[in-house]
Amino acid sequence: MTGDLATSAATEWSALVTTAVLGAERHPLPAAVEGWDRWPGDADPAVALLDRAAAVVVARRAGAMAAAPPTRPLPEAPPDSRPPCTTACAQRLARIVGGEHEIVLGEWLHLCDQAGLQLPAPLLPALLLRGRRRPDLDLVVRRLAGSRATWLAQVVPELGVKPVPAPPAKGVVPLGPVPPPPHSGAAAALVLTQLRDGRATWAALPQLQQLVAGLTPDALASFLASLGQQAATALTARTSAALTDLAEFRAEMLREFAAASPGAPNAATLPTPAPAPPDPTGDPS
Amino acid sequence: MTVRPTTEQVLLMAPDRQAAAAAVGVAEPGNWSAAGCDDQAVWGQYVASSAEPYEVSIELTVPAFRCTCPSRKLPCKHCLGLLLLHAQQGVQPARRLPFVDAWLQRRAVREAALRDALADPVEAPEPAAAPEAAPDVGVDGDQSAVVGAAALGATAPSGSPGDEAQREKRRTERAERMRAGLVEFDRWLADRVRVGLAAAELAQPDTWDRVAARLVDAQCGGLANRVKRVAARVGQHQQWHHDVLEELAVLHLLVNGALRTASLPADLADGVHAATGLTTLQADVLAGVPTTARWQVLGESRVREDRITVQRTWLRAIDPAGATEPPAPTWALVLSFGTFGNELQSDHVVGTEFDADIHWYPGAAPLRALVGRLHSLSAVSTAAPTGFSVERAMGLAGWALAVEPWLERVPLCICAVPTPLGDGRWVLADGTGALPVVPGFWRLAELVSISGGRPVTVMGEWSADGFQPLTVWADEGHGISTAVAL
Repeated sequence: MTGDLATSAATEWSALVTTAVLGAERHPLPAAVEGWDRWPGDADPAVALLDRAAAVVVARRAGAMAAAPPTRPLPEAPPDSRPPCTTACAQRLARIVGGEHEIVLGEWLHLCDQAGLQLPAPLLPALLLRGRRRPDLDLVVRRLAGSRATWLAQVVPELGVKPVPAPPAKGVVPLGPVPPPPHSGAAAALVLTQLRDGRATWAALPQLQQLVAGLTPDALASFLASLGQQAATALTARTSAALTDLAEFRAEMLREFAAASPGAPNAATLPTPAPAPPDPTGDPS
Repeated sequence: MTVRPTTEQVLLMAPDRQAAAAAVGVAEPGNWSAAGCDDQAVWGQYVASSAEPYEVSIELTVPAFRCTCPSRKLPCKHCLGLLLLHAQQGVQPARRLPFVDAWLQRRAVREAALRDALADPVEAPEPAAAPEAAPDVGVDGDQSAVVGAAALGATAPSGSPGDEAQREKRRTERAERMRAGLVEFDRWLADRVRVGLAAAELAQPDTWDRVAARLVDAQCGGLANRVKRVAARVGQHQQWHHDVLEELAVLHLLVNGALRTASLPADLADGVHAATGLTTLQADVLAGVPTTARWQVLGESRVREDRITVQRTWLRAIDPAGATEPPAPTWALVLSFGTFGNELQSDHVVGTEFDADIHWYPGAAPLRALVGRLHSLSAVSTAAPTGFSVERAMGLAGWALAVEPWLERVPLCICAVPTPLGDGRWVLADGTGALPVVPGFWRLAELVSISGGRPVTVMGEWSADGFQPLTVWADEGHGISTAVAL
């Protein structure tokens, strides 16, 4: 619907709304605007009003034309030369942000940085929002997202994120991978022993998770292999299941990043499940 | 072998959403005494407010329902509730009660007689000899059968003249009840603009609930649900009078269509029937001629209404390879329902595609459909669907609305850039125009972040309030796109 017809429809509509609001019994229904007078009017002014309103509504909805394009288009996001994150890696991050094994969030970001991949665009708003309360996370996310974070915060003020973050307070360290235990092999052996003799109860889970999240890739692979061989006691069944879940989650994440960065050592001939991406801990001890 | 329907199958049998919602409340073990099941049937006594408990029997294989309650719904909430309880494994196997046995025997005798007469078994007449046979459909009878006949206006199969007359009487009564309800509702609509939209009573939920309840009584459940949605618009923002007058006018149009279905083209009459609340049996839909194609699952939306979650899954046929000018897209809408504790499970995941037969419900602009036979397993789609220009997409929506002006949602798939207009208003824009996004769309930042200021393919639902994006396709590089649900 365009031009004259749209104008006359608007005139007709505003007359109808005025009468409808005040009531057809108090406010007489004005004669139809030219072009909208082709329907035989009902004797009852209220019914006639509804008839005429229906004609305008249907004409306007079915005949709706696209509005003119906005005069100020959205500025394009600054280009990013890094390759986009693979689907598998992005889905892994979505699960972490969704609350699964949040302990490995720092490691995911670290691996993404090492592999030289873009942050997944769909998750950038969620990461920035989370960063409002966690300066250590914000530091990493802002660095990885680069000018894209600034761009997003500027074009979507509704998000409520500052385009340029305040300088971090003293002593805030960027969120990184869980620091590895001094000796990964020994730590893995300790966890396995505790699971076997029943000391690894549910209460001990946070500390054990910290240990498992920090294992080097090699130690993680052998830990998973040994876990599969030993049966948990009734006392440690839940802990064992939770730790297996975390270890597998990490191993899959490492494999996904190895596959995503063809330049990484051994990426093509990576034996499953042994992960061998760039060592996230940087210190194999 | 025991036949146990799923919760979703039970809810799909409901004649309207009120019945389904009520059934959820009925499906409490505490409401039932002497409930039991065997291979063939489920039964129970519903302890109601009245002195006598209602006797409910359900034959599982057909399925057929019988309830002694006075409700005119087919099947009533008690039947649905008992079946829900059974679906949730809340009914224990037991010895059949006498009233169930008697009913099943009568059914068996009747079916045998029908087979002999080679009559259409869909509309089984109640034998006159049945002790509690009554002229009212709801009291006793093969309820599922009556739904099919009434909804499709099927011509009755040959039967004895007495049965024929009785059926005719029931159908006339039902039509009269609907007609009376529609006339009363249209008068109510006119009274609203006669008194004025500024009247205080319009702001009271009671006003709307009462009229919705009257519509449910008149078996116009579809209209009742729309009335409740209009009620939610009163006072929503400064300009609410415009919105409400629009909706009242559309309802007026729909009611007048429903009062004149005989003079409408058959397709349009079917569409009007569906919008007012007449349900079509799934079996009848599946009996129609299917459309076989490769279907891409483009979007999914969920809305909570009453105590039920309604999920809409939008499928679109993939254009055959080699088509130069993309034809108007073929859409199919699959509805599923879930209740608290029985959460919905998606059969069709956004971003996948499969070969299947699709059966549409009748209508002039058919959208709602059932997935029939599958011809392939689901596979992940690697390419984004064809997105139209804003102008073309709005043209397509316009056609659908011109055919069925009471459509509340029209699926669109466009390729455009999310662009701000200021004041928190956003549009999806390209060189041909701009389409407003629904106000308060909460996943806007994700959409903008994925777009990066460049055109993206977006699927969503048009409504009178604006465009609700449901899925956006993110470019993965190497010509691969992944669907991201918003």
